[in-house]
Amino acid sequence: MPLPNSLRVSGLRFQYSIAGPDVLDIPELIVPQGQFVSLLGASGSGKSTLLRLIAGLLLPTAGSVDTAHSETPAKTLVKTATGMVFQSPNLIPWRTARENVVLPAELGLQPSRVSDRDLNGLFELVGLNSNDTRKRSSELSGGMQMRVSLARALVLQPSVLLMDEPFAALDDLLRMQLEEDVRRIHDERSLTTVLVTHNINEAVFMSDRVLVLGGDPSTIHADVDVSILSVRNRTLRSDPEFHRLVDVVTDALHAAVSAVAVSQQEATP
Amino acid sequence: MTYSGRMRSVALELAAPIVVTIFVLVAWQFGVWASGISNIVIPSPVEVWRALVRQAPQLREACLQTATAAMVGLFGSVVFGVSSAFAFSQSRLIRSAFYPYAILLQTVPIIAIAPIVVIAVDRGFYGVALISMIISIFPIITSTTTGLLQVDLNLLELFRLNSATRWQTLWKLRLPNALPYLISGIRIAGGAAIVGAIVGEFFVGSSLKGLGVMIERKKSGIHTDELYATVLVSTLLGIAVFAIVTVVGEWILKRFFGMSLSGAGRNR
Repeated sequence: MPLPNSLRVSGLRFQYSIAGPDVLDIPELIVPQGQFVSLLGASGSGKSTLLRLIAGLLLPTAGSVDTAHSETPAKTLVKTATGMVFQSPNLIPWRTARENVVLPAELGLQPSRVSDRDLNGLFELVGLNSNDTRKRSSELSGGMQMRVSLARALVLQPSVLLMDEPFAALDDLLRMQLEEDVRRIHDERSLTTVLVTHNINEAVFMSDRVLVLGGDPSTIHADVDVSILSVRNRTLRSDPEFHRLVDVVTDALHAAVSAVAVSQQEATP
Repeated sequence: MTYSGRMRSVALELAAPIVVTIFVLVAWQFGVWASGISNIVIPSPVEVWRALVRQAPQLREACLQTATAAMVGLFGSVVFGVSSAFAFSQSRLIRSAFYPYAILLQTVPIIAIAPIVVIAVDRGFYGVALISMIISIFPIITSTTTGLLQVDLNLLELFRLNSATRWQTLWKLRLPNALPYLISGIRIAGGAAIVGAIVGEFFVGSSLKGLGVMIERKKSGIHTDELYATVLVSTLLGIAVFAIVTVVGEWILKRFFGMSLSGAGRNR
């Protein structure tokens, strides 16, 4: 029996100004529950725009974004069911790590929904010790700040986790560690995750599916299934199958970039 | 920088202005002595010091009265300034309509409107406090409005993502963000409030005994050394207010918000 869909995008179009051209055109995107999807593309290909449309931070010109939590579609606006990790940790400097994490519950006027036990479990899940949770962001390293940001995104137990290039500013070792941690959390919590990244290795390592965006207006140029990869740990990085899939995605990305270049040449009088 | 290096740097920062002060005082003393100029025109630092000691009880009382009027004015500035900044931060229309008048408060010469305020409102303490408020409110309005509006866009997006209400965004984000700006504004406003109180006292006559009244009375007498002593106390009062606001403000920011006046914007 197929898994229920967790995220459904239909006829989505977006333009920055009323008179401007469409910058994004996604006829359909269905993400089943529990799937890890990466959005990959050149700069300006609309990856972050699509993610922000899914988050409800931007309003589409046409089309819709919906989530369903069960086989019966619940037509819930996605932003109530999503957690988001931004490119920067985006922590409030005068709050401690713990206070930052409970912010979404406070804003939703439901702090009682997050018990101390839940919070401690969450901190353990993302790799924060109790000492770190009492520190303010300026006292935390970049990696720790990102873990706090991840805990904040998960505090209301969303079904969909959105991540916008969260590891772009981190060093390689830390990035690889966080990639493994996030994938583990995704599996443990049965999340549906959408990750925006520039990094092909990261996309293949973490995802079940890589969507390559490109074109003008930008659309899904290639949909590469990478779910055949086994457990996502350090050994996978030297697996020949992993490298083959990286090559496949790289070719798809090159094709998408070339397609944009050709369409721009044709458009030039 | 090492600990000893930091200590050397702090010692240098403290010592440099003290050396300059000693140099100026010695040059002043020598200049008055060498030129033979009358102490009615320019008294020597030693004469000013003697006048300060001689007039200590009157200066203490005047200082207290001026400081009280200035603090009442400053309190009014904080209350009305922060309230105005709240209104400005919530509506572009309100900002467009009223902000020019806030700027007007800064551009109108206080010396020109002080007599009008004294005549219209009160020829006493409250008139002086009101002038003090008028001159000190502008830095509070501008700094607090800036702090309420210049919020990290990413944090605003985070609040929007979590469907925060306008009130939640104001209370949990804009207001704490504005606090370092407000304290910076109060630091500037504190000095201005002292100036306002002294200027106000120029016009209230003998009903008060503040520093402004003393300056006004002594400017036409022969005891120029006492005039200098009064001006010195006025200056020290301004410095004291600035220092107190800085120390208390830094403590509040560090203790409750993990920020500092100089590094508030860098924390994020």
